[in-house]
Amino acid sequence: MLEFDFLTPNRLDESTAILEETGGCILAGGTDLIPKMRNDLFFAPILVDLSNIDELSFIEEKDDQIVIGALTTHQAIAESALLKSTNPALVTAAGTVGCVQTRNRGTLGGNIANASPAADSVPPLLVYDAQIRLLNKAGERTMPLTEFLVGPGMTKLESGELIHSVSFSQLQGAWGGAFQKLGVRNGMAIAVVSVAAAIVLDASGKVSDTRLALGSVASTVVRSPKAESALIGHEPTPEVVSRAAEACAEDISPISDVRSTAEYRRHAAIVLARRVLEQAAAEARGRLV
Amino acid sequence: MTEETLTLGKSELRKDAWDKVTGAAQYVADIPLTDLCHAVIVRSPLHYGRILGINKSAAQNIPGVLRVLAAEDIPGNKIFGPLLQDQPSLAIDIVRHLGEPVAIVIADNLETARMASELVKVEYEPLEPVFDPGQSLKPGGPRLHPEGNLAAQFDIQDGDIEAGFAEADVVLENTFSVPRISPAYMEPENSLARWNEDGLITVWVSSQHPFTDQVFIADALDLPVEKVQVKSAVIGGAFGGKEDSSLAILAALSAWAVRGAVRIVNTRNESFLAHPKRHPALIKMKLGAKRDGTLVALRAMSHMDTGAYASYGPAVGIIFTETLAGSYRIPNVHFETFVAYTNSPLSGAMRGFGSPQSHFALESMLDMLAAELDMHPLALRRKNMLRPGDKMFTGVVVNDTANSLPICLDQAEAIIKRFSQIEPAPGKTVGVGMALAAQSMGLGAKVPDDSTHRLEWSPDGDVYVHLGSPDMGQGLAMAAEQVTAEALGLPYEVVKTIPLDTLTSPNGNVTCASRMTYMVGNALIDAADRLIQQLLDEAARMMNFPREQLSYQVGRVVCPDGQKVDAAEIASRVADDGRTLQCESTFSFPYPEETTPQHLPIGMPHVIFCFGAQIVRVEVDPEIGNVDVTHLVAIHDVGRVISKPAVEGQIEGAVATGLGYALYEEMPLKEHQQWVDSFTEYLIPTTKDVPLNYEIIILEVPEASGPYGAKGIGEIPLVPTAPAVANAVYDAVGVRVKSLPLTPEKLIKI
Repeated sequence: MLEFDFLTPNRLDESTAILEETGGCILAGGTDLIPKMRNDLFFAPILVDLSNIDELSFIEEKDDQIVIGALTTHQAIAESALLKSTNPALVTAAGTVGCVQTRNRGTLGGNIANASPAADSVPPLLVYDAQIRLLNKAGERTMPLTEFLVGPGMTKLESGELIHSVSFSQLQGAWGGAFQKLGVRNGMAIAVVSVAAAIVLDASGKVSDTRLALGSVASTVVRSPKAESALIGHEPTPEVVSRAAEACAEDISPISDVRSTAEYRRHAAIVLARRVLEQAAAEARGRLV
Repeated sequence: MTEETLTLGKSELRKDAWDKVTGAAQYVADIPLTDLCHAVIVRSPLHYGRILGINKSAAQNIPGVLRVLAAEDIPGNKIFGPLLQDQPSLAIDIVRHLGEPVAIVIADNLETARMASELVKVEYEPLEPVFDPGQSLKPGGPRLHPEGNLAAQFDIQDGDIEAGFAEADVVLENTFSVPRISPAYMEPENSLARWNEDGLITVWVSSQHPFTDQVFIADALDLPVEKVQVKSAVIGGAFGGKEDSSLAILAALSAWAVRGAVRIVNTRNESFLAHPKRHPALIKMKLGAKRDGTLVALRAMSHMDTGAYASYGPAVGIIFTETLAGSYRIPNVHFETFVAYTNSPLSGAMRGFGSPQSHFALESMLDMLAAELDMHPLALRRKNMLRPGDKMFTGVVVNDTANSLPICLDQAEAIIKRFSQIEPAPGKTVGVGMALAAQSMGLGAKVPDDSTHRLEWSPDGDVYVHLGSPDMGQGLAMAAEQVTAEALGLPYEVVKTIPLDTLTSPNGNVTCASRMTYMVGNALIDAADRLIQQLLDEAARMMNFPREQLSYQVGRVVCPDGQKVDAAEIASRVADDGRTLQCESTFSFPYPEETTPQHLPIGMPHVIFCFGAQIVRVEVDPEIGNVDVTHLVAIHDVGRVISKPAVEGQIEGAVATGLGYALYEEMPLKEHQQWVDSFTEYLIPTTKDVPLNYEIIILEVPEASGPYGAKGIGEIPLVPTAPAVANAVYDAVGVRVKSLPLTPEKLIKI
């Protein structure tokens, strides 16, 4: 029988106090947690429901930083004008999460905490070098999101701690960003491979900064330093982009499962990497003055 | 059809629509009973194993647990089966598939039953399972059933196969494989039973065949059938998967054992593991043709995996074999079909019943042949299609309904042209493909197939249809009401269907085989005619008019003096006498001896066929192999439309199912030898996966023996979909995929 305590704090300080005191498990949108509990894949004796904490649901711009509260829903991200103009890859990714019902319930913080290698919102955050802000009763700490994600279902979140928000710097100058996801079907798809890219061009049209992140091809969403270094300092011609995309194969370690095979994932990752890099480069070129 | 109709062919509102959209409809899981107990099934964790012992005591001692039952607790027949008696209600000594019911725990609440079910200790000796039907039939493997591993075998020949291939200019040989498919209905299997003080057991079912449930329950409990009342609840989808009985027996057993009321509802995982699927099959096919495209010989050797128990496997093998030549005249054929037991989940009846498997192979082969002959696939089909008067390989002569085939092909030609002119999306490769399909109606010759239904004219003027077969959600009740209203000249609104109850309803036989509108419609037209005669007889007697001077007009009796008396008035006066104005009629599926070949096994041949064609346009991403079905046209001959939205609904739903078969669905073994058993991994199409450009063309080439000319539409619309997609994909990227589903991995070279 599923018997557990269900606590619903109304304020942030109350939340951290309860988490500190009980060591309970956080329930946000519940789109991952509830199915897992129903299928006996997860159990927690104490659930702390944060859905009343409105102050964790926000998208704001602060000193050149974009900050997104942990309880912001995928749908809110998908509809955000601010994000559309600053991190379009994240907006695209949020729009591909599950179905409308999932997007209305599911939260950014939950997507990150669930630590799936297929998490849709993570690649676009990694290509912006996002930082994650964690809170507990005693205080707070901030770390790079890449560092926070340890393995499938594993993070650096400690007992008594909650995710407050995620932040990243806006890209400056001639930049472009893109996200593409390949699922087995179109609706309610879980990524077979997902790729996000960001490119910044200098005045001469050469890549001055770039990041590429891939989902579902390793134990966490991963960046591809090989692909990134293949681009830096070069003009993103089709040949250069192609070569960079192929280089990403060295940074991934896909597995075979019921959704796809390792070989196919590796192949599709390269194709998708090339496409998102091209898309990001085209966008960046459009911003060159 | 231009003549004026009252309700036929029109868009009436289903009478259950409001209840269904508001959630008021009562499915088995919703029916409230007082003092209801719950049962949870203890299932086999092994694919194959010997039961060394079952220790019930730990579970039995949990407070709230009423009984723990195993096979030994079944008082009557412990084995059942729709065709072969081979399936234990609860495993006896051996478990033959993962998820097989071994014991059942009944408690006063569901959570206790669940928890206690985990405490039933079953000791097993694991045995080496076999999953491949071909492997299963080889000597040396495990013997799964006393009579061996062959559940059924068919060897059908016509003409001279060797001579046929000898005269062929081109011979193609290929092997096709099709996967296990789940019916994936929204409502998992369930049943609710109540033992009544007077010894009657009332059982609510979500079943396509409540009268069989009744017999199986009586048999298992060693009770006379009159002591078992089976009631049809609202059914949340069935698609053939609910032709089998299983939970009804276990619910009844539980209620009987605790002398109370017990409900069992399968979880989705249980439904995946332990309820019938569509047969996976391996089909080796050899096709011979003349240079001009004339088909001369077709040979097929097929293995179908029926899983641990036969279910409807042997009958599926029949329709599979009978549809191997599709809609074509092929003078020389030889088909061998083996239906084998394995340790897979059982396969049984599922929408299409063998025809989706045979058509994937044949319709793929035809396009391969067309490519070889440098002929248009459509021209090849046109050259070889059946025509009225043609003799099929079973000896059955095709009737006039084959006149729909050239119309299908003409329409298809125009659509192919139209599709071919649509520009591809950037970076995509486009292809257009088609397939024809034939689907049999009925249970097959020599299988008794009588369907009885009753009409009752109530004193308040309403006419009740006592439907003897359940409406599984497809709209059978609406079709029955429309046919009755039309036949009696009454408004659709006053004709109402009474839910099936084996104590009071006539036996309409199992809802299946694309023949419900046909059987029910014919029976009800006859019942309506006779009800009118009865009405006139009663009127003549009551009003002292000579019978021949009375006539019937839209719900009224017209007297010689011009007076019109409402039928309700007469029904009311009949009721005053303690009688009911009612009439029952039985329709038997016709297998006229003079035209039905008798040399074939029981269940063969089928004599009436539905025909249809589908054309799809796909866009393939040539680099990653993703297939997007952008356009689809489904052309189907229904003989005569009884209910337009119901026909369209059948086609729309079936095509979505066909797309799932084509692109996504399969139930393989995954890591740790577990079957894919949830919708997270078993992917069915969503609304986003069904083409936006989706058109239905309904043809009405009357079937002479059908009610108002109608025939079936329940199954055929999913049959051509998968081969049409495969053919379109080949047209797009030149890759011939011979195994379903057509996953991207199969389309690209890595």
